[in-house]
Amino acid sequence: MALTQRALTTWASMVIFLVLLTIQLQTKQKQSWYLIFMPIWLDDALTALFIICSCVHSNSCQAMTEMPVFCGSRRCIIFVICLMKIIAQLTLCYKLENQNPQLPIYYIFLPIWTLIVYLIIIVIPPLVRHYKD
Amino acid sequence: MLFALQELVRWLGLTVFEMLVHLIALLVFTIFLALRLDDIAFTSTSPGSYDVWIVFSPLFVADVLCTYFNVIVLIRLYIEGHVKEAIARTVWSSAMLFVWSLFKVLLCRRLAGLSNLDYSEIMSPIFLILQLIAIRACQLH
Repeated sequence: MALTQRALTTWASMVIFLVLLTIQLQTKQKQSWYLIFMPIWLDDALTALFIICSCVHSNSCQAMTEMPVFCGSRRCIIFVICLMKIIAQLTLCYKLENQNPQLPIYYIFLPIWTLIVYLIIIVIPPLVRHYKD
Repeated sequence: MLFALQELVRWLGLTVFEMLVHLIALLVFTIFLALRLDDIAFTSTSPGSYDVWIVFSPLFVADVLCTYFNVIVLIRLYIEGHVKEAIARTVWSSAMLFVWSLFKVLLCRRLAGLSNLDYSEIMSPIFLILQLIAIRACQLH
Protein backbone atom coordinates (compact mmCIF):
# COMPACT_ATOMS: atom_id res chain seq x y z
CA MET A 1 0.00 0.00 0.00
CA ALA A 2 1.20 3.47 -0.83
CA LEU A 3 1.64 6.10 1.86
CA THR A 4 -1.56 7.93 0.84
CA GLN A 5 -3.63 4.76 1.08
CA ARG A 6 -2.16 3.87 4.47
CA ALA A 7 -2.69 7.41 5.74
CA LEU A 8 -6.31 7.42 4.58
CA THR A 9 -6.95 3.98 6.11
CA THR A 10 -5.63 5.18 9.47
CA TRP A 11 -7.57 8.42 9.11
CA ALA A 12 -10.83 6.54 8.41
CA SER A 13 -10.36 4.24 11.39
CA MET A 14 -9.65 7.26 13.64
CA VAL A 15 -12.74 9.12 12.40
CA ILE A 16 -15.02 6.11 12.94
CA PHE A 17 -13.50 5.51 16.39
CA LEU A 18 -14.00 9.15 17.43
CA VAL A 19 -17.59 9.17 16.16
CA LEU A 20 -18.34 5.99 18.14
CA LEU A 21 -16.57 7.43 21.20
CA THR A 22 -18.60 10.65 20.99
CA ILE A 23 -21.85 8.67 20.71
CA GLN A 24 -20.79 6.52 23.67
CA LEU A 25 -20.03 9.55 25.83
CA GLN A 26 -23.15 11.40 24.72
CA THR A 27 -25.79 8.69 25.19
CA LYS A 28 -26.98 7.17 28.44
CA GLN A 29 -27.31 3.65 27.03
CA LYS A 30 -23.71 2.40 26.98
CA GLN A 31 -22.34 -0.04 24.43
CA SER A 32 -19.43 -2.39 25.00
CA TRP A 33 -16.08 -0.57 24.99
CA TYR A 34 -14.55 -3.42 22.99
CA LEU A 35 -17.08 -2.54 20.26
CA ILE A 36 -16.17 1.16 20.42
CA PHE A 37 -12.51 0.25 19.86
CA MET A 38 -13.45 -1.94 16.86
CA PRO A 39 -12.03 0.41 14.15
CA ILE A 40 -8.70 0.46 15.98
CA TRP A 41 -8.73 -3.35 16.34
CA LEU A 42 -9.30 -3.61 12.57
CA ASP A 43 -6.44 -1.21 11.90
CA ASP A 44 -4.17 -3.26 14.18
CA ALA A 45 -5.29 -6.46 12.45
CA LEU A 46 -4.33 -4.93 9.10
CA THR A 47 -0.91 -3.94 10.48
CA ALA A 48 -0.41 -7.47 11.86
CA LEU A 49 -1.38 -8.88 8.46
CA PHE A 50 1.26 -6.71 6.76
CA ILE A 51 3.90 -7.78 9.28
CA ILE A 52 3.10 -11.46 8.68
CA CYS A 53 3.07 -10.93 4.89
CA SER A 54 6.42 -9.15 5.00
CA CYS A 55 7.90 -12.00 7.07
CA VAL A 56 6.54 -14.72 4.80
CA HIS A 57 6.88 -13.10 1.38
CA SER A 58 10.54 -12.17 1.03
CA ASN A 59 13.67 -11.20 2.88
CA SER A 60 14.73 -8.65 0.30
CA CYS A 61 11.57 -6.58 0.70
CA GLN A 62 11.14 -6.21 -3.04
CA ALA A 63 7.38 -6.44 -2.65
CA MET A 64 7.38 -3.90 0.17
CA THR A 65 9.21 -1.01 -1.46
CA GLU A 66 6.26 1.29 -0.81
CA MET A 67 6.29 0.41 2.88
CA PRO A 68 9.81 0.79 4.26
CA VAL A 69 8.38 0.50 7.75
CA PHE A 70 7.69 -3.21 7.23
CA CYS A 71 11.24 -4.06 6.06
CA GLY A 72 14.25 -5.59 7.79
CA SER A 73 14.94 -4.67 11.40
CA ARG A 74 12.09 -2.15 11.37
CA ARG A 75 9.68 -5.09 11.23
CA CYS A 76 10.73 -6.01 14.75
CA ILE A 77 10.17 -2.44 16.03
CA ILE A 78 6.76 -2.29 14.37
CA PHE A 79 5.85 -5.68 15.81
CA VAL A 80 6.75 -4.56 19.35
CA ILE A 81 4.83 -1.28 18.96
CA CYS A 82 1.79 -3.09 17.56
CA LEU A 83 1.87 -5.64 20.38
CA MET A 84 2.21 -2.99 23.12
CA LYS A 85 -0.59 -0.94 21.53
CA ILE A 86 -2.92 -3.95 21.54
CA ILE A 87 -2.06 -4.76 25.19
CA ALA A 88 -2.63 -1.11 26.19
CA GLN A 89 -6.01 -1.05 24.44
CA LEU A 90 -7.05 -4.37 25.97
CA THR A 91 -6.25 -3.23 29.51
CA LEU A 92 -8.00 0.09 28.89
CA CYS A 93 -11.11 -1.66 27.56
CA TYR A 94 -11.05 -4.05 30.53
CA LYS A 95 -10.92 -1.13 32.97
CA LEU A 96 -13.71 0.76 31.19
CA GLU A 97 -15.93 -2.33 31.02
CA ASN A 98 -15.46 -3.27 34.69
CA GLN A 99 -15.83 -0.11 36.75
CA ASN A 100 -14.65 -1.77 39.98
CA PRO A 101 -11.96 -4.22 38.97
CA GLN A 102 -9.39 -5.50 41.42
CA LEU A 103 -6.71 -4.33 38.99
CA PRO A 104 -4.83 -1.26 40.36
CA ILE A 105 -4.84 1.79 38.09
CA TYR A 106 -1.08 1.71 37.48
CA TYR A 107 -1.46 -1.74 35.90
CA ILE A 108 -3.81 -0.13 33.38
CA PHE A 109 -1.32 2.63 32.62
CA LEU A 110 1.79 0.43 32.59
CA PRO A 111 1.44 -0.72 28.92
CA ILE A 112 0.65 2.87 27.89
CA TRP A 113 3.76 4.20 29.67
CA THR A 114 5.90 1.44 28.17
CA LEU A 115 4.60 2.30 24.71
CA ILE A 116 5.24 6.04 25.14
CA VAL A 117 8.76 5.46 26.55
CA TYR A 118 9.52 3.09 23.67
CA LEU A 119 8.32 5.71 21.16
CA ILE A 120 10.48 8.37 22.86
CA ILE A 121 13.49 6.02 22.58
CA ILE A 122 12.75 5.59 18.86
CA VAL A 123 12.36 9.33 18.24
CA ILE A 124 15.56 10.51 20.02
CA PRO A 125 18.32 8.96 17.75
CA PRO A 126 17.12 10.61 14.48
CA LEU A 127 16.89 13.91 16.34
CA VAL A 128 20.46 13.57 17.69
CA ARG A 129 21.74 12.56 14.21
CA HIS A 130 19.96 15.57 12.66
CA TYR A 131 21.56 18.04 15.08
CA LYS A 132 25.01 16.43 14.71
CA ASP A 133 24.81 16.95 10.92
CA MET B 1 -1.50 1.19 10.35
CA LEU B 2 1.94 2.16 11.46
CA PHE B 3 4.31 4.55 9.73
CA ALA B 4 8.01 5.30 9.52
CA LEU B 5 9.08 8.48 11.29
CA GLN B 6 9.77 10.34 8.05
CA GLU B 7 6.37 9.34 6.69
CA LEU B 8 4.69 10.80 9.77
CA VAL B 9 6.75 13.99 9.41
CA ARG B 10 5.54 14.33 5.82
CA TRP B 11 1.93 13.54 6.61
CA LEU B 12 1.32 15.47 9.82
CA GLY B 13 3.70 18.36 9.10
CA LEU B 14 5.28 17.95 12.54
CA THR B 15 9.03 17.91 13.08
CA VAL B 16 10.72 15.12 15.04
CA PHE B 17 11.45 17.59 17.84
CA GLU B 18 7.76 18.51 18.14
CA MET B 19 6.85 14.82 18.26
CA LEU B 20 9.36 14.31 21.09
CA VAL B 21 7.93 17.25 23.05
CA HIS B 22 4.38 15.94 22.62
CA LEU B 23 5.40 12.40 23.63
CA ILE B 24 7.13 13.60 26.81
CA ALA B 25 4.10 15.76 27.64
CA LEU B 26 1.80 12.81 27.05
CA LEU B 27 3.89 10.66 29.40
CA VAL B 28 3.74 13.24 32.20
CA PHE B 29 0.01 13.79 31.55
CA THR B 30 -0.76 10.06 31.87
CA ILE B 31 1.23 9.92 35.14
CA PHE B 32 -0.80 12.88 36.51
CA LEU B 33 -4.02 11.22 35.27
CA ALA B 34 -3.12 7.96 37.01
CA LEU B 35 -2.47 9.88 40.25
CA ARG B 36 -5.88 11.58 39.93
CA LEU B 37 -7.75 8.35 39.12
CA ASP B 38 -6.01 6.60 42.04
CA ASP B 39 -7.07 9.43 44.42
CA ILE B 40 -3.44 10.15 45.34
CA ALA B 41 -3.22 13.73 44.03
CA PHE B 42 -5.26 16.34 42.06
CA THR B 43 -8.47 14.72 43.31
CA SER B 44 -10.72 17.76 43.75
CA THR B 45 -13.87 17.83 41.59
CA SER B 46 -15.32 21.15 42.80
CA PRO B 47 -16.01 23.72 40.03
CA GLY B 48 -13.49 26.29 41.28
CA SER B 49 -10.66 23.77 41.59
CA TYR B 50 -7.56 23.92 39.40
CA ASP B 51 -6.77 20.20 39.73
CA VAL B 52 -8.06 19.23 36.26
CA TRP B 53 -6.02 22.07 34.75
CA ILE B 54 -2.91 20.84 36.59
CA VAL B 55 -3.45 17.33 35.19
CA PHE B 56 -3.67 18.78 31.67
CA SER B 57 -0.83 21.28 32.23
CA PRO B 58 1.94 19.14 30.58
CA LEU B 59 -0.06 19.16 27.34
CA PHE B 60 -0.47 22.95 27.50
CA VAL B 61 3.24 23.38 28.25
CA ALA B 62 4.05 21.23 25.19
CA ASP B 63 1.80 23.46 23.06
CA VAL B 64 3.59 26.58 24.32
CA LEU B 65 7.01 25.04 23.63
CA CYS B 66 5.93 24.02 20.12
CA THR B 67 4.58 27.54 19.47
CA TYR B 68 7.94 29.01 20.56
CA PHE B 69 9.78 26.49 18.33
CA ASN B 70 7.53 27.40 15.36
CA VAL B 71 8.18 31.12 15.84
CA ILE B 72 11.94 30.45 15.77
CA VAL B 73 11.59 28.33 12.61
CA LEU B 74 9.44 31.06 11.01
CA ILE B 75 12.06 33.75 11.72
CA ARG B 76 14.92 31.56 10.47
CA LEU B 77 13.11 30.60 7.26
CA TYR B 78 12.22 34.26 6.66
CA ILE B 79 15.84 35.37 7.15
CA GLU B 80 17.05 32.64 4.77
CA GLY B 81 14.58 33.91 2.15
CA HIS B 82 12.11 30.99 2.13
CA VAL B 83 9.11 33.27 2.67
CA LYS B 84 6.49 31.07 0.97
CA GLU B 85 7.60 27.95 2.85
CA ALA B 86 7.72 29.89 6.13
CA ILE B 87 4.15 31.16 5.71
CA ALA B 88 2.76 27.73 4.69
CA ARG B 89 4.48 26.00 7.60
CA THR B 90 3.41 28.59 10.15
CA VAL B 91 -0.24 28.57 8.99
CA TRP B 92 -0.41 24.76 9.23
CA SER B 93 1.36 24.52 12.62
CA SER B 94 -0.66 27.38 14.09
CA ALA B 95 -3.94 25.83 12.93
CA MET B 96 -2.99 22.45 14.43
CA LEU B 97 -1.88 23.95 17.75
CA PHE B 98 -4.89 26.27 18.03
CA VAL B 99 -7.50 23.58 17.31
CA TRP B 100 -5.79 21.01 19.54
CA SER B 101 -5.51 23.53 22.40
CA LEU B 102 -9.14 24.56 21.94
CA PHE B 103 -10.22 20.93 22.34
CA LYS B 104 -8.19 20.60 25.55
CA VAL B 105 -9.57 23.83 27.00
CA LEU B 106 -13.17 22.76 26.26
CA LEU B 107 -12.51 19.33 27.78
CA CYS B 108 -10.88 20.83 30.89
CA ARG B 109 -13.80 23.24 31.39
CA ARG B 110 -16.26 20.35 31.10
CA LEU B 111 -14.31 18.11 33.50
CA ALA B 112 -13.87 20.98 35.96
CA GLY B 113 -17.65 21.58 35.93
CA LEU B 114 -17.36 25.08 34.43
CA SER B 115 -19.47 24.34 31.35
CA ASN B 116 -22.24 21.98 30.26
CA LEU B 117 -21.14 21.50 26.67
CA ASP B 118 -22.02 18.20 24.98
CA TYR B 119 -19.17 15.86 24.11
CA SER B 120 -20.02 16.29 20.41
CA GLU B 121 -19.36 20.03 20.78
CA ILE B 122 -16.13 19.37 22.69
CA MET B 123 -14.95 16.93 20.00
CA SER B 124 -15.79 19.26 17.11
CA PRO B 125 -12.26 20.81 16.95
CA ILE B 126 -10.83 17.29 16.63
CA PHE B 127 -13.14 16.53 13.71
CA LEU B 128 -12.09 19.81 12.11
CA ILE B 129 -8.43 18.91 12.40
CA LEU B 130 -9.13 15.44 11.02
CA GLN B 131 -10.55 17.07 7.87
CA LEU B 132 -7.32 19.07 7.48
CA ILE B 133 -5.25 15.92 8.02
CA ALA B 134 -7.31 14.07 5.38
CA ILE B 135 -6.60 16.84 2.86
CA ARG B 136 -2.90 16.56 3.68
CA ALA B 137 -3.04 12.77 3.26
CA CYS B 138 -4.48 13.23 -0.24
CA GLN B 139 -1.57 15.54 -1.13
CA LEU B 140 1.03 12.86 -0.29
CA HIS B 141 2.84 11.17 -3.18
